[in-house]
Amino acid sequence: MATDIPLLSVTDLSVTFRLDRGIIEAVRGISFDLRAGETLGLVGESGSGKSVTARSIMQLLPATARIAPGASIRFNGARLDQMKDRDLQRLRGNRLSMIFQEPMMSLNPIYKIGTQIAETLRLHKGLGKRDALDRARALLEEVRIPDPAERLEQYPHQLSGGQRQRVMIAMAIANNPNLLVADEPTTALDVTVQAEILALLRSLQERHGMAILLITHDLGVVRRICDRVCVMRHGQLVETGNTKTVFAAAEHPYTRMLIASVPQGRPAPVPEAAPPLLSCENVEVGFLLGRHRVLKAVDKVSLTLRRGETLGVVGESGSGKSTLARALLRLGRIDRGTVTFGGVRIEGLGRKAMRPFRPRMQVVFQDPFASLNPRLSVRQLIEEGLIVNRLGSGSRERLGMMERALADVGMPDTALLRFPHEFSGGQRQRIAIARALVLDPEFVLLDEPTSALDLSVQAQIVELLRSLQSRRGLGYIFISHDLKVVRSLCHEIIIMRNGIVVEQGPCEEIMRDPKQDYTRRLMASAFL
Amino acid sequence: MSDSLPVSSDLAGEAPGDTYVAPAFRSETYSALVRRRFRRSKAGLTGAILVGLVLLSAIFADTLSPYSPGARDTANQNSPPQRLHIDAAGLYALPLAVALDPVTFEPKFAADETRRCSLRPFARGWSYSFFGANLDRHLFVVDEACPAHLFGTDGLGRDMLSRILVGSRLTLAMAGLVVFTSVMIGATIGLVSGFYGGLVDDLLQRVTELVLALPELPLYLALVAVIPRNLPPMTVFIVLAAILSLLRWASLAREVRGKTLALRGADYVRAAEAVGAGVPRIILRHVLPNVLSHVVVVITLMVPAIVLAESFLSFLGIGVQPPLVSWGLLLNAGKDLQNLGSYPWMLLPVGAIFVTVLGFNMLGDGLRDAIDPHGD
Repeated sequence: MATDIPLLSVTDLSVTFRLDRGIIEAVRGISFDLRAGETLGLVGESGSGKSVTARSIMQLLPATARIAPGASIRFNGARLDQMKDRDLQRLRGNRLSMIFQEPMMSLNPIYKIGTQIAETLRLHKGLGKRDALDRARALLEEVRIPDPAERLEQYPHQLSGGQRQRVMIAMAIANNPNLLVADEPTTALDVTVQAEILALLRSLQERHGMAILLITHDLGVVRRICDRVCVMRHGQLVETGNTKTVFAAAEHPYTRMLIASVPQGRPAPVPEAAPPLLSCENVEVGFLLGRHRVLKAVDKVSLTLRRGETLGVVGESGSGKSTLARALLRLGRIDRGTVTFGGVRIEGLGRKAMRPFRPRMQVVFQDPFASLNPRLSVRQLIEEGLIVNRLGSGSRERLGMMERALADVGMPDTALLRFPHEFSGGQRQRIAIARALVLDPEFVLLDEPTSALDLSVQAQIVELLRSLQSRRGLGYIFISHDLKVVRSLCHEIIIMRNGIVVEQGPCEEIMRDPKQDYTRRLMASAFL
Repeated sequence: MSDSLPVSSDLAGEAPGDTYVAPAFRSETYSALVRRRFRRSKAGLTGAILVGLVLLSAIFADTLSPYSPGARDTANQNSPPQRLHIDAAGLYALPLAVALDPVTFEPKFAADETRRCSLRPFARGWSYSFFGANLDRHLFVVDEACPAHLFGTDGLGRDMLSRILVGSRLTLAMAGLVVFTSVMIGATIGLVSGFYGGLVDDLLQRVTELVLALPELPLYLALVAVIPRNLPPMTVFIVLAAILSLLRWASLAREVRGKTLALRGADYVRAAEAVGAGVPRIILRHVLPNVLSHVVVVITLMVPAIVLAESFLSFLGIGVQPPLVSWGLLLNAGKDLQNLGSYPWMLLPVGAIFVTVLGFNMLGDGLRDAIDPHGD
């Protein structure tokens, strides 16, 4: 399909942001071409400038951003960066369209799906109302949404996340664009849905011959659908090339590191005689929906975790994995069933009675930006657990304990005086782990601790968690939807769906030979 | 604390083979961030200056007043404002001579060019107590025989400038008292309601709704009517403050509850729970500080509302009672049309109220923009 004249040509693009504390160079002199019908992946970790690049192409930068002189963005030969607003509006959503990460945020909740798709058609093609709706139905069919005629009459909240992203794609391709800019189109979606959306994008591209600029942090996605790939770091392009060539033999060390940073290795085996640490039987948690309907978020789940063992709880959003974990820690409700921790039944204990157990069972949350109180210094954050549990005889002894915990997670003790917002995502997660470790727990609940982090940082955190486990004999329950991380960390796993355990057993065994259809689908989407 | 610590190089980047140096960020507490953002807002700064001036003049009202607010200058009743002049000898005003219009018997005031009433700076005048100390120094003192009423006098010959200055105290004290009590009640109820949820929340919210549903004005009138006339003025003042507070806490309780509800589910609150922190600690250390910035804004926006309410009630004659002086009470003198037509300077307290309300509102708006982390 590819021709020789580039469809999109970005030359020497630099974008700066003016902030209080000075000027930040988000993109620093990047150039690349995109030919018609081609899929180009723009890969990078957070802060690498990939989204800013996409927004400069769409000319949708915020007011504080400035494109440095000397840059040019050519689309079909026309300079996008010098175009008037009115001409741009005619181009956007027509020859040039974009889909975003969060499909809930990009659809207007108060309009019907049909109205929203029809609007782009009426705007750019001048279609009548009836014709536009007919075309909208055809488009929904094309993005493979079941019962398209009925969907036209529905509102965004009545659709699932994957379906909403399909609607967004339908809107984007409504006018047969030459270029589709997709900014992390599958990041907010579950793995199985992600695979379906990628397949859809691929097939649409073949049918319509459009070019796709795919912005993502996920190398798996790039490998699956991109012809060529540009690797970005700190606003610069470090490597450009054919996807196959780059993955086979990357030239730049950073690219090599990115590719290698998919979590490797396996957990150290658990000693045979390890005593059980935490177990539960037939745990049920229900939520009241309306007056009489009850949603069983967790339905008759039983599990056993031994000392020094990692139990992975895998499932897509809404599978009940977080609810289960919170119930086990007694941070959330528990309706029926038993929970035993260190030989003691804890499911009936109240807030006061749980107190002695608190330092022994700790938790690390998914988002280190949300789990650290922004008003407190790192010292206050870590010290809190020591103070409330009356550990350490005085401020001096507590300081020593905190310094040891920070050293354990690979942070300098100078961090104690700073505030959480001064640290990167990975460093914050280390602080959150230190907060758990300082209490010397036996059990740590890891609630997706790596999914908000960049790939290279993810691998480091997994490594850290493994070494902490072998040094301290910690028992982990690791909640995740990312099977690659699960494989490198877990001994046993349970697969959950809609509150029920679908499959349960040793991790390696299930990964090698999944018995259930759903597990097979999960594996297929994760390891492609 | 750690305001100038640079980020050490071992923290700058995490990936190996890193040649890029991350921009160094200064360690900044939340309050420093708010201060910096606040300084960018011109309107907010103007408001802060106005509020500062109003508060200072209320504190030093006695020192700034040339006359005792109760002193009557019987020779100069209803006299219009005198102009301030300046020459090498200092500030002075010309006394006014009264002449009755032969036809309408309307008093006409004309400046008497022959005499000059000088304002002596930092001289001794009427004595007052300032934080327990008996003082008699004033910014300016005028001789009794040769008056200088810069804002004119009222029907009893009392100096308007001094009365406005001293009156600010009671008005602002009322605002302070009401804001303090209603914030205490509102914040406590909001925090408890939002944090515990369930039945407690339901119950408290119904009470809040009840208070919010009360029609304010008729209720003021009714409640004030119940206060016995023969109570000492200071007691009336306190009762009035109590009534205002009881009606004002509800909306704040609502807002605090909403904030608390959101924070209750925040990961860092759950994390604190997981390390074993008890309820009081979680509320005081994790919830309250994050709600507080919001409360500060509500306070600055509540003050002008109370100033207006006090003025309004006193204007109607059901608020602060004489011999106490407040802005509303001063306006009460200008409530009939005849007075207003003949003596327009009776409206000067409106200017004071205007400056105060404007200042607090501007300050509140600036603060609100500054504490909002998503403002950029």
